[in-house]
Amino acid sequence: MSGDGRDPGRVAVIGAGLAGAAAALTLAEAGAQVVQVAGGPGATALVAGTLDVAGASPGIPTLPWRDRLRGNVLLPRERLALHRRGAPTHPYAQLFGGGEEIDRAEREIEAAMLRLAGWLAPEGLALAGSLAANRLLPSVPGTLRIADYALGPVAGGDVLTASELAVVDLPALEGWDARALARTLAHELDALGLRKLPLSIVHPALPERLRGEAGPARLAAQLDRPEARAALAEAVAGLGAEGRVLLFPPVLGLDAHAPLIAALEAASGARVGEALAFPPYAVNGYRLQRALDAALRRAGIERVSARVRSVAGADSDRLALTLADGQGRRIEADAVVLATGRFVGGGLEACTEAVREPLLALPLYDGDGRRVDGIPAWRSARKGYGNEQPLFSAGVRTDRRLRPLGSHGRPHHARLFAAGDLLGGFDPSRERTGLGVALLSGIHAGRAAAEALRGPAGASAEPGGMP
Amino acid sequence: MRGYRGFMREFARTGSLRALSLQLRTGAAHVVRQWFRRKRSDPVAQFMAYYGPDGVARPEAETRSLALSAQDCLVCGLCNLECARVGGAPAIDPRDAVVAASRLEVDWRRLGLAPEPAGACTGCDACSRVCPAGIPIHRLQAQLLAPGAAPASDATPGRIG
Repeated sequence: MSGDGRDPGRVAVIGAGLAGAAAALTLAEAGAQVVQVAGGPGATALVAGTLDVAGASPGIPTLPWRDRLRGNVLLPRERLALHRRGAPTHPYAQLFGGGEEIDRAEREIEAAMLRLAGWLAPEGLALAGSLAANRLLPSVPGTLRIADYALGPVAGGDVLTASELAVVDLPALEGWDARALARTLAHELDALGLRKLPLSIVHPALPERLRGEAGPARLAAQLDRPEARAALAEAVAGLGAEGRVLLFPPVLGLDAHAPLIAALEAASGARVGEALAFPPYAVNGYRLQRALDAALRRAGIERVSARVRSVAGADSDRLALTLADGQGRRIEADAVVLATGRFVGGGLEACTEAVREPLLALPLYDGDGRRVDGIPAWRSARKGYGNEQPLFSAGVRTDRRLRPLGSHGRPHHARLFAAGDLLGGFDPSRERTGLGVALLSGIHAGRAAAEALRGPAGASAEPGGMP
Repeated sequence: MRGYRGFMREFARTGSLRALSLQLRTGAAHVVRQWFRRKRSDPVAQFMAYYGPDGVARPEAETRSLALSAQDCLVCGLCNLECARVGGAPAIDPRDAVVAASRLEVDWRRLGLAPEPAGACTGCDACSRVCPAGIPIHRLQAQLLAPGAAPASDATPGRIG
């Protein structure tokens, strides 16, 4: 804050996902006035419930959810170290400095996760995990996924800390087949070389209303109600045993999931977990999005629900956003954080003529370091199923303060910052660090923007590390 | 399925040969029809002269823009979750409505597929507000019930945010 009586400065954060939320909350904590502009949720609302930060081990040609190196499952800390050595273009290189400072990366990840847990806690959404241990979480089809951090409801399904797993059968629910899940799970455990886990299927006697519900969304909404919660708790009473995990489909409530899971655990005596699922079961991503939205509201952050048409530098220390709201409304800001995502969020567009960044036409680089903006997407595609697609790593390049670079190689604007998937150089679908990058770069960009408001425009000093 | 032979075996086994013959017959019907219709200079008028009798109508600008916006659907299902959370119970789930609209531009009433008013969407825009692709889902739902009577157009959705 400047001493001449001016207001602390207004920052516009574009994007509603984890990167935008982390930047906005960090800026609000630093005393900035924040306006968040977003047309709707982004890719964060579509995640399965894990928050992967450590990454897969690079150069290992296995499916990304089977991190096996010489028969061993690597710890998250080891995967992070390997990943950082093997992926020099990954945004972690900008965030944590070069190569060897592995302790700093670990400290910053752990601190960032603590902050995220603090933002989510008031909504009852827990965050579990560490860099010191893996979690092995079953999905709805029965495959296993290695995770370091995960949201509470899915973390309960961890098979590494269970001595017995019972899959809850809900025959009417579409997409949920307890028998097939158990069978695939047994194969997966075998393929990973893990000890056999006693698997069973339990058939709770559900009340009529819940038994017939086929739609996962409607069942989850029904289970938000106290009487449905009590009925389900009664149905699972006595199904528990020491070390047993009851594996449910991810439908245990939309908003009231915490009291429901607590009631189920109390009634059954077992630990309760949800299976991982991607859309259209995407209930954990939805919970994460709602908890982040609530945290932003609690922090008093203004939300403008509109899509942005363009961003332009008004002068050396101000930028102006033009909204696509029909009236072409303008928002002026002293700094802007772009957290617009990639192809899902709309931060990158791949129309028939060309790939482009629609707000500022920033230069984009793919995973091989080639410039791809202005070139049709099909020209960058590699033929063949399963080939790595460099276009999936496309995004902007930034300096150490996360300011996107213009075509001349210098920051596009002194007070323009970028966070999340818009940062190029990594492929979130293969390397699985999407939410990790979103959280860490969001916090980092928020700090850098707050610092830019305090200091003179265009300051080129390196930002202080995150404590 | 291996090679052309395998394809043909699979094709015959699943009864798709029947579908193919139907398709050929329909195709032939169109060719025959085009011989006997008067030629016009305006291609659109000519098309309507051929197919108007089948109930094909020129889509209104509104219908067309809705169907095009539905093609941005990611099939993520957030609309279903939000609809269930606010207590909606439409006869056709919002996601299914979007998927259908993105593939077919049809008159639902004529096909007997339009939901009864009792099972209709209430028209709150909860689903549209959570849509990552910015699709006006509640307007699509309204159109299922009454084609051509969708609520007035909002701002054209962009793709950012």
